[in-house]
Amino acid sequence: MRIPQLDRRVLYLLLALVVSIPLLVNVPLPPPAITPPTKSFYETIETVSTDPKTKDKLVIISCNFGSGTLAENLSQLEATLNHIVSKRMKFAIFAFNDPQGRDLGGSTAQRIADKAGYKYGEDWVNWGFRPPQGIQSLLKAMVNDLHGALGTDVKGTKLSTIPVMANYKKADDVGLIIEFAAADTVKYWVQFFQRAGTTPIATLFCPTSVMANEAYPMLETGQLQGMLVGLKGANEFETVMKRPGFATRASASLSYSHLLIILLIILGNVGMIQDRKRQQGATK
Amino acid sequence: MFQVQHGAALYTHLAGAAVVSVILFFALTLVPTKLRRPLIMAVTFAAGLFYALEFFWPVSGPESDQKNFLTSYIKPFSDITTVLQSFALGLGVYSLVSIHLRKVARTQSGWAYSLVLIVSMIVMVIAHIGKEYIKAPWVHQLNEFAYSGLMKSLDATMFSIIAFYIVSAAYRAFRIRSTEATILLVSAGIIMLGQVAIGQAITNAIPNEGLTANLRVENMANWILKKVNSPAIMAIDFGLGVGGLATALRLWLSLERGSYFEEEL
Repeated sequence: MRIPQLDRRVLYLLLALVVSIPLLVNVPLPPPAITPPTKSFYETIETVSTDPKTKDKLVIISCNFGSGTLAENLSQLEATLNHIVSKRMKFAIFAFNDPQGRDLGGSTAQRIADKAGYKYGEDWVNWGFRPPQGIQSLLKAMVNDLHGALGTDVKGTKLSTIPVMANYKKADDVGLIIEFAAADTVKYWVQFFQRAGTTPIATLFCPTSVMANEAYPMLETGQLQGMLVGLKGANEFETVMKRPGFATRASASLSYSHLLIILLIILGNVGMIQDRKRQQGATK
Repeated sequence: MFQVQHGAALYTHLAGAAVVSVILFFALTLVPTKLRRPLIMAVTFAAGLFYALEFFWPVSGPESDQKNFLTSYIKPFSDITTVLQSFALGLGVYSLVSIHLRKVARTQSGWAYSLVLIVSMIVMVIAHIGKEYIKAPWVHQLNEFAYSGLMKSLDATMFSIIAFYIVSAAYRAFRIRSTEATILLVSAGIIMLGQVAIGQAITNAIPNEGLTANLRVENMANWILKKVNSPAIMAIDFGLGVGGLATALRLWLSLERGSYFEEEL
């Protein structure tokens, strides 16, 4: 039987159905296997939140993503922030690559913090957005003087007058950096901040799936302590936390769309082999 | 060196900075053409030298606060960088608006798109900056509509369209025409299956301990990512790093040639 050449509109329709149906109807799916990067991501937060040396230090939540990658980065952010507030850790929202990160990170933090009984200024703060072009020099300045380098929070209040920042003045007062990004912006933390204090700061990375490949070497070298790989990583983390969210619901869409792509690759190749045999037959 | 200002002091400082900037820019235009290039070279070299010296100069002091004589100037340098970037942003906005306004005024081909760009830009600036300073409800409603209602959805839509192209490309272009293409396809298949729960379920029956664990699809995917992908990425990064260092040195020493570097100033 000859495999017919599928019109691209049929392919688009198939993908639209495969992605949307599992979001509308509950499609049963086996729980995901917890991969080593997710396992170490979870364990790092657990360790930092219980170690007497780091548990009272600040967590920097760096939100360098825009609406384009909401499905992946926002799911990661929600799952991680839920874990952070459950450990009663103080945190700061920061953005330097995409101006949208300030609002997306800030509004998500506000929603989760409100539910957890966190108060703005006492338990968490939003440092706001800083231009990406000067981030190297800003991070270098932040190492010795967080208040001076950043100046004010997102509302224009001096950081030195915000209660939560009273004990956090330099890199040594930071216990954990978590980067949520649509690009490889974690390298700036690794290059200019992570090891600039007296002790290295644990650093976690939440990239989109396509960006994760570039970060694996940093996991191998110990520059990153853990990583949530895209929506799949968020799904694994929600499973570990036993707190299903959007990533768990969307994992069926992800699963079936991957299967569709594999099926289409096989179909395309079978069609090619058939065409090749037919051409060989015709020339004989 | 620079302190955060509020209220009347902020506006006084802003006005002062604007006046100083205008005088400085005017003074720069008076520099003879022959001296412009040496001036740019000197400023570029001095700026680069500051960070290089600060990094390599020995530090002293208590362990938690080790500094050299340049460390305390990092913050003002960071502020100066931000201010310079702001000028670049202003220049970019001016350039964009002037090009598209001209297009609209002359009703050149595609002028309607230019008009949409200018209107969108003005609306977004009013809505997004306005919500920080204006309490009127319409500003917040406009921001909700323009940013949350339109921009966020459009941005997400644009990005998700990639998935449709991937499907089309996977069907039409991902063919096993050579040994290399076959290896690539098999690796991609394992990675894709290893990334999703339904793919992982295929080998769920295999125990995740001992030698047989290597046959589980997620472990195979992880092995490819860590042992095959990582060294390749490291090699690329190393090459990029060396190339970046060479380029940085050429820029720092004003040896770079080509577009933007050889034009008459």
